[in-house]
Amino acid sequence: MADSVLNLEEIIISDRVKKHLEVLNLSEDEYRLIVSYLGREPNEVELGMFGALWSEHCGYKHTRKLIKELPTEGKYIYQGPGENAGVVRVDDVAIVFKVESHNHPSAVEPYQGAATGVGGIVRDILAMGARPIALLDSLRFGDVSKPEVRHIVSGVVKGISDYGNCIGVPTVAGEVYFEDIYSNNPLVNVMCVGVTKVDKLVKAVAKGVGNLVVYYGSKTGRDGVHGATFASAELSSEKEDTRSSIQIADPFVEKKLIEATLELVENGLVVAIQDMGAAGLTSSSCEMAAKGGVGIELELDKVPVRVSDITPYEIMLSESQERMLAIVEPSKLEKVREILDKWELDWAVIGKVTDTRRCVVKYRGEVVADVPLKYLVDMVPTYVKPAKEDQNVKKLRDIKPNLIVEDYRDVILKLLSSPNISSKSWVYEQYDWSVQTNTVVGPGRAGASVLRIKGTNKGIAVKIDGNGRYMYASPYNGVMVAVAEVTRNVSFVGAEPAGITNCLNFGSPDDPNVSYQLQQAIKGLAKACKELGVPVTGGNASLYNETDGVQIYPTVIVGCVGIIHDINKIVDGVFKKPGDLIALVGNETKEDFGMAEILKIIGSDVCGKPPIVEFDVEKRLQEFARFVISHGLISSAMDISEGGMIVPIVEGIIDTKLGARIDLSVMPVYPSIALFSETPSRGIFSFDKEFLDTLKMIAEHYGLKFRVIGEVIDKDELVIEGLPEGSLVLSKEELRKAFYSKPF
Amino acid sequence: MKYKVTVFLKENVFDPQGNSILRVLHNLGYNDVTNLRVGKVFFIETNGNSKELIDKIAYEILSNPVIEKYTIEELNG
Repeated sequence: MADSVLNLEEIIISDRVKKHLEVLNLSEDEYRLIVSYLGREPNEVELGMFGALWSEHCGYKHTRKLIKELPTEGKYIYQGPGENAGVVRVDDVAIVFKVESHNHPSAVEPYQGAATGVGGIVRDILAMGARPIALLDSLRFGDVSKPEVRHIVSGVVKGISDYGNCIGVPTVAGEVYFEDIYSNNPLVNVMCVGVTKVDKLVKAVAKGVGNLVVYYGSKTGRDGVHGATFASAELSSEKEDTRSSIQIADPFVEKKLIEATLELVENGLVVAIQDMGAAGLTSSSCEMAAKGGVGIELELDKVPVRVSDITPYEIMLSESQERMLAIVEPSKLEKVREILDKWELDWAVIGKVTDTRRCVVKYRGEVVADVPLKYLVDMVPTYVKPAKEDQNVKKLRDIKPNLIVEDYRDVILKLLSSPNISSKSWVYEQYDWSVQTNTVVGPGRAGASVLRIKGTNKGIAVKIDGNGRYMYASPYNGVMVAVAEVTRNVSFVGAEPAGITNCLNFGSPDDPNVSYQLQQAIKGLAKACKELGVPVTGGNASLYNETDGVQIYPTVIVGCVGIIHDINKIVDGVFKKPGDLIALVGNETKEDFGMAEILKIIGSDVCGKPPIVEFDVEKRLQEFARFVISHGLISSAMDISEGGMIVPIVEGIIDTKLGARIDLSVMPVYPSIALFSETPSRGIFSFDKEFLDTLKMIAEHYGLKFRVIGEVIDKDELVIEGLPEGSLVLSKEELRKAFYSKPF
Repeated sequence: MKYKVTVFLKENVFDPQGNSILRVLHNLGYNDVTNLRVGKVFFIETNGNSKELIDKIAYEILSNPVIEKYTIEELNG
């Protein structure tokens, strides 16, 4: 409107605009900022584009400043944060990975929300030119005794399995936790890993004035308009109005998209690719052009649409699934056409690369948007909101947890059958985890899953972790436990942790306590990654995970990829033969029951300080594990985390015909501490007797406590000696019954 | 009473199944077909007049109100 000198305070924001701002989750101050950038008021389409790109999902408004602290350099790093996904390399193999959340859509429509979450992260990996070879998911649900929670659980698991199974990408690992706090706000974080050759990697950087913008995949409909802004807003119990944002997944189109994209990349036909995920066409086109320092011009009349009365606003903001945007040189269009036609994908040339550094959008001969890209992508306002810790959390942390175990048999069986500890086979058995035949160690057998890289003798180990209960009591220390645990899991199969991806799941940063959690958690993440020498390759932020003012636990999910230099030198966590010794290796076992799982089991208050990671010990333990695995000295390794040492011991025998005899009298602590403490930096190793002296020596060299606590026996039972009541014999049958009990 | 409940995806919700069928039709040369949506039909019999009950069932069980809508028809006989 007015392009005269603007007095920002005097801009009168009309009711119509105010309403629009509300839908977009933009503040009036932000609107004024847009006006000052443009020197005029934006039109509706332009404002919609700002809303999408300035959302937390695309613009990282509240996290951008904080994540600068994260280390991004490391010996395997090929591509750090800033692309569609991070890349680590070994020889000429590029391993591409990223984790992303789909929490809000899964809360509203669990099946489609989870399915489209898988589709979205798969396309991020695909956009790098890599073939997706593995999926991992980290799920948080509420109290599973509530029917509405069960509905969400079933829907999410089915959504992941249907989509993953249809596109032929195995779901190889994951984790599931149940806490009442997630009842209205489930977390669905999906990680995808892909591989390609380093020289085949594609970046989302548009280049070459005159190059064509090619749209391909599904047609554009109204679904998901405002999805990106919706994902950055609190849910309210009144879900009616948000229902228009449900996107429907079409995995068969995704499969075609995968094959078509890889064929385009293989033949060198694309300059850049980005998937149309959150904020669809707007984010993909503007981000690619901004990164390349070029401009982009779009003609919306050419976009394949599903409904004829769709508006330019809706086309720009639609989040219809299974769509990609590629930059193609005109001379290669003919070949691109052949491939896209062969795969029966809808496609069209919808624009071109310009030198204007602006995004110009045309519809029916008119310019409907014209915005300099720097305002949309680079000059996103960033905030670090005032932070103050909730004193109730501090109080909770200062209460010493009270652990009294009277009946060991009862407590052990209850612990094993609790939904957070018990086998997750009821989940992963719905997933195809072996398709593509790369999976060497699948779910449930080891701390991390192992995949081979075909055509090489190398492999990768992958794992995803994040204990939200620890992070609630202490975001800083809790996140460090998660990083230590995920890298430990990877090291314990024989892999070297190469990179970390993370998903920040929090409540609204407008709340000072959440802002505090966010700052502390990212600090902890940075510290842990630096200490362990594992860089962060990228991530995703999901804020506003709260309903009617009730916030989830701050939950940082960390995914780790480790490199295995020789795929024949790995172990899992399963005990192998009678006579093998079982040793507890690592840090000394301490009284670590702060926020521990066992407190819930015995009905004690869940409180206290989460354990503190001693990084020098953690590092040495992981080095020890990799060393003894690569030298073939041990038969199994499993880390100790939630539930304590008893859990990996049971997991070592549960699916075998073997048993174990454990003697707790060798431990310098009470049996209850020995069995259930969650002290980090420890592991259960089994090995042939003949290696005992060698292993002892190596452990001493690494400065680790090494204590033989028992042996593998040829009997279907677990014997625990050294308890106050003497010894306890648990039959495998009762152990299995407990460990394989389903939560519903 | 006899009732017929028809469940469809809401108008703006993408219908992958309908889309696939449409594509097949076009591949076979039926190019005059421009749109096709897939839905479900339920025939339900009850004791007495229970339209309210049918509405409850349709909302809670037969449809997913987040993405679907339904219509109820009373059938004679």
